[in-house]
Amino acid sequence: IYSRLASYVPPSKPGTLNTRLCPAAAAFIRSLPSSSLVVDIGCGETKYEPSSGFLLGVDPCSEILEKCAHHTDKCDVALADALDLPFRDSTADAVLLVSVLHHFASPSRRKAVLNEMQRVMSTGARALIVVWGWEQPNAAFPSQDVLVPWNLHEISINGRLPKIRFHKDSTKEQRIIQNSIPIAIRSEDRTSPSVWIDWIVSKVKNTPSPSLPSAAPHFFPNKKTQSLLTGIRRWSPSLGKKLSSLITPIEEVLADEMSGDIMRDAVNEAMATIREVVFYRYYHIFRRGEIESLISSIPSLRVVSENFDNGNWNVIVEKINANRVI
Amino acid sequence: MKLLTHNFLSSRFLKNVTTGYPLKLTIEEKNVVEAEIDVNFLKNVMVKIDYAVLYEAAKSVGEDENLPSPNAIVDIDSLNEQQLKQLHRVLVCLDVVIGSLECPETGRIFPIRDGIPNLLVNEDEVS
Repeated sequence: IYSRLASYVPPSKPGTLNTRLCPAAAAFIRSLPSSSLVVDIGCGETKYEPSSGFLLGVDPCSEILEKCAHHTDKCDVALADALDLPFRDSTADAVLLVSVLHHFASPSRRKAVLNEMQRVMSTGARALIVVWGWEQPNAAFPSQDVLVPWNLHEISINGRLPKIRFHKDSTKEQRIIQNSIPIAIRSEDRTSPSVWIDWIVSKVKNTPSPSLPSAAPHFFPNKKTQSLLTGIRRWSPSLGKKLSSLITPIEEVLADEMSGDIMRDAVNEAMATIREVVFYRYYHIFRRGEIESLISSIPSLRVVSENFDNGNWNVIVEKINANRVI
Repeated sequence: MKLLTHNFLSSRFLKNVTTGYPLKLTIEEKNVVEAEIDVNFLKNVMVKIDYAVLYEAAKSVGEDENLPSPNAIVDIDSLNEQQLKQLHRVLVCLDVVIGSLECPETGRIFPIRDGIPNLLVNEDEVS
């Protein structure tokens, strides 16, 4: 499980779909020739379907793909990893890599993403890359590698909206930055994700936070109690044990009515805990020039244009030859 | 999953796989969503797809009737309306809801559920 996390691009969880469009991506899609075949890496709910052409979206999160409107004739999706794109070489007319690259936790992995991206691009195809920028207008990040809290308590549970904890004067960006945890990725060849994930977990656990952080963003409760319990066990063995002790007598007694009540209590208890949990997402914050130097390490890619907008670097690249680069 | 998507999918990311194409398609449940035909899009996409693979995939669901023969180069401009419609239908209207994809080299099975193929693999399966 840990081994997947480093390459896992945490999605917006169901119920919190971020429908905010990235203006640069919308403009990029509009700029494409009609009938283009677009590959969207980390497509989420496929927000950037072209008006003419076809969008092939990949995302590693099944929950978000099920939400998206892939049942149109201009869009289709697949569950896949950005590092292992399931496409033939040189097929895409265009690629979207929007808010994806900054989730990969080492320079070598970020380069691998770009290499895999250029592999599926046909010669002359363009790609839009959007990443978080270091040079924020309103505040400064504590480190170039940060864990940003993804607040589960912002979801309404049982229809109740949670309290807003932040001061209303602060901007969203400032809140994000203030609540992010700096981490140090110590060596470039720290390629074993489990090692550094373990390290991050220990780091996060030692920060003075009233809530219990989790390193498992994959876990989300669903309607099936059993898989909820399995998820809890995976995420917190001690809580899992507590719940198991409630379940065992149920299996013995087989009193349906009573078991229903006990299960509901158990689920409520679990949900109460979950509400306090903060999930963290990894971000690498790109400094000025950093994305260009990463791109220039891949011979088949050339920067067409770049701009800094709302704290993001937007870079358009073009594939300049069909030779495969390893 | 549409047959257009199938035409581009490859399992070449798997360890010891060189091309991983085409993935062998098995269909258990399909759905057809009617959509407006876009001849310009068909023209562009026919340049990119492997038509023999599309034809075989369509044949496996009994949708090969009215499709142009896979033995000759397909020229969109010379197709009659029925052929264009069928081409459009198999490319973007036909949706594989439940089924599977099989790597031609390793036999690795990728399931298709709710119309979404799952090509996620364990880290030890990739090169």
